[in-house]
Amino acid sequence: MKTIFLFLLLFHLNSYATEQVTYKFGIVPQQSATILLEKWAPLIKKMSQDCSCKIEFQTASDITQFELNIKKGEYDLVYLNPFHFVENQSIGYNALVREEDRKLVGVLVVKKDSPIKTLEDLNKKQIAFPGPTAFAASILVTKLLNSKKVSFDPLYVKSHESVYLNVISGLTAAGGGVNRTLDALSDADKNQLRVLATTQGVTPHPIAIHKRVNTEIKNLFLKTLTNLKNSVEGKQMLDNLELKYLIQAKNSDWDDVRKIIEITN
Amino acid sequence: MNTLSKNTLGKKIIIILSICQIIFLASIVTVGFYFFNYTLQDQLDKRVAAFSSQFESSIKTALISRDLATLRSVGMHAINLPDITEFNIFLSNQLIISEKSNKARPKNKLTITKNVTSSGINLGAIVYSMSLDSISANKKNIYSTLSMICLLELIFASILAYILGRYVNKRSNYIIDGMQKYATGETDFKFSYITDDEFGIIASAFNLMTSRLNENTKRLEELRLQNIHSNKMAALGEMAASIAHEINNPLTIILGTTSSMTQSLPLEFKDKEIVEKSIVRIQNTAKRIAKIISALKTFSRNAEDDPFEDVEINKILEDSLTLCSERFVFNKIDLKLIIQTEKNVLVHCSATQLSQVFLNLLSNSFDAIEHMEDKWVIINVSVNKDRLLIKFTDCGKGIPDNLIDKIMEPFFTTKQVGKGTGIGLSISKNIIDNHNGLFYYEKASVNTCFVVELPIH
Repeated sequence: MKTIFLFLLLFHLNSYATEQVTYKFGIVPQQSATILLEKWAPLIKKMSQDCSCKIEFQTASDITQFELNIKKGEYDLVYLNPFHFVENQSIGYNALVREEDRKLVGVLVVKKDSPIKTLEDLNKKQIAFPGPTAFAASILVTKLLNSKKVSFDPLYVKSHESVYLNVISGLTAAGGGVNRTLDALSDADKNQLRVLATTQGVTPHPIAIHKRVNTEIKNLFLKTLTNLKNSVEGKQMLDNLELKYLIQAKNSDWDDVRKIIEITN
Repeated sequence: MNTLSKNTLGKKIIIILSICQIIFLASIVTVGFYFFNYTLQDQLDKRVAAFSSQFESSIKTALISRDLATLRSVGMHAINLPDITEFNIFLSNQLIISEKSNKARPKNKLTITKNVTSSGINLGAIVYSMSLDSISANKKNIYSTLSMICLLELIFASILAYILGRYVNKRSNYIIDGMQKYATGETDFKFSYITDDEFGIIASAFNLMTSRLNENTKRLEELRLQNIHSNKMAALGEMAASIAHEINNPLTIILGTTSSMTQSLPLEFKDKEIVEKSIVRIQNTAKRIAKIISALKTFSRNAEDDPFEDVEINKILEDSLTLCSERFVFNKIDLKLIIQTEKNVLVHCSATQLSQVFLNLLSNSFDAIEHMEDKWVIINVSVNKDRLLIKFTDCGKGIPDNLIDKIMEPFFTTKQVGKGTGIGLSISKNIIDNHNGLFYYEKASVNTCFVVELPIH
């Protein structure tokens, strides 16, 4: 029922200002498409209204497909992980906004009653990750495990939520995620997990914009997004997305990420 | 008679219609139940198939990639579907997703296990429970409705059958009652209420049949009495012929002897004149006896097969009067014959049959006026154009109006029992009809008057 409602809402959004230019807003598939649409729909609707344009919600079936879409430049606006942003800057994406006073921290979780107490206990065990290019959840956590010389079997399960559910189900010994998606879990799920380790913090996910979008619209998007913190409605939307206040970002804000990638490579 | 307690046609109709109705309804119910069961089962099978195929593809992909988030999303979506009460996903043999509905625990449920395979490798399975309560409720509703319709239909049909049975029974009893009345002697019974259905046709046919039967019976009786009358007349004729033969010889001797006696009388015989008168009287009497015997021989016989001849009407009337005049004189009845024709009229007829008519009319007059005072009978003969009119009028006061139409019917009589047969006028009318004449009662006359009209030859 909820799905039907959301699709109807999307239809409404799509039909809004039919004469206007349509912008595609891609969202990284950290959760199932249904949940993503449910969470992002209010913000997209507001942006459409404020900017008098039509914005279309888009995601991909998995992170690999999402990355391919980015490389093709399919999205006009895109919420993506720092790794993808840095790697695909040459396609034409520039940072628009990022969370203020927040670091993206990778977390390694195990089942709450798991006998695993240290990173070394994960040696020769299977560990779930969203995908090989998930920056904090996969790359930073792998870097952490490698620093302890832990040998493990990675299992890529497409989304952060799947990582946590694999751990809860006992299908994998541990899983790599990020602090934001872990916080977004329901209490029932969260209470079954224990954080074994965290990584260093890096600049979080940006909302990037393709250079083909004209400056006037770009500025309208920027204004809408950065002004969310100034209204109750906007704050509610950010809370719903587990995001802190958004501020204008520049590409150099992700130099820390570039440095880590450089070291890893 | 109108009750349905007997094994009547109406009762049979009710029983047959009821049995047909029960068989018909039983067939409908059986087919209906079978059809509804088949339809519901088919719908359930299709629903299960559609449900399984709806999720199988996404579950298969998610199982391969261990995308438990997608599996959970599918499970949450599935559990919200109507009638799905439990939805479990197994990865190999391990339960990884288990969703249970908050809906009321179903009384009847169907648990379906659908293995998920890819390239022949078993990835896991979907095990879900589907509530059959709504289907059972639907089935119960359909059965209840169907049963109610059948019951109402049965009651309605039974009432109709009863009404129809009563109607048929009533109509058939009406026919039976009428027939029984006729059978027990009420031969003038007729069905007065004629419907436009088969019962009406039966009633009409019965009325026609009894009418013809009554006519035939009356005709047969008439023929029987005519036959008796003819036989009687024939016997009388034979007897009269025999008597005439026996009497004629003595009469001849008497006449011969008296003639000789007249011639033998001496001229100087003192009482010659007296003796001659006596001899003449004896001769006249003997001639009268011969004439009576001759008339009796003529009229007292079966004349049905007599050929028609041209006969003088005066002679027939005089001969008839010869036979009965003595009786009228003896009873002091003044009998007059008034001939108003200019010449003697010839009639093409059977003289014997016309004599029988005239004697019958005279006999009726005699019986009617016998005990009156100043009794008289007048026979008036006249001609009107080409018709000869013979009126027989007596001193009677006529026939009441209400009997006039009946007097010509066979067996109608006002005479005392044993005195009249009631066929005299009927036979007379037949005879006159056979002579192309008319025979009727003259209503205009103050006294009793019958008229015989005959064509003049």
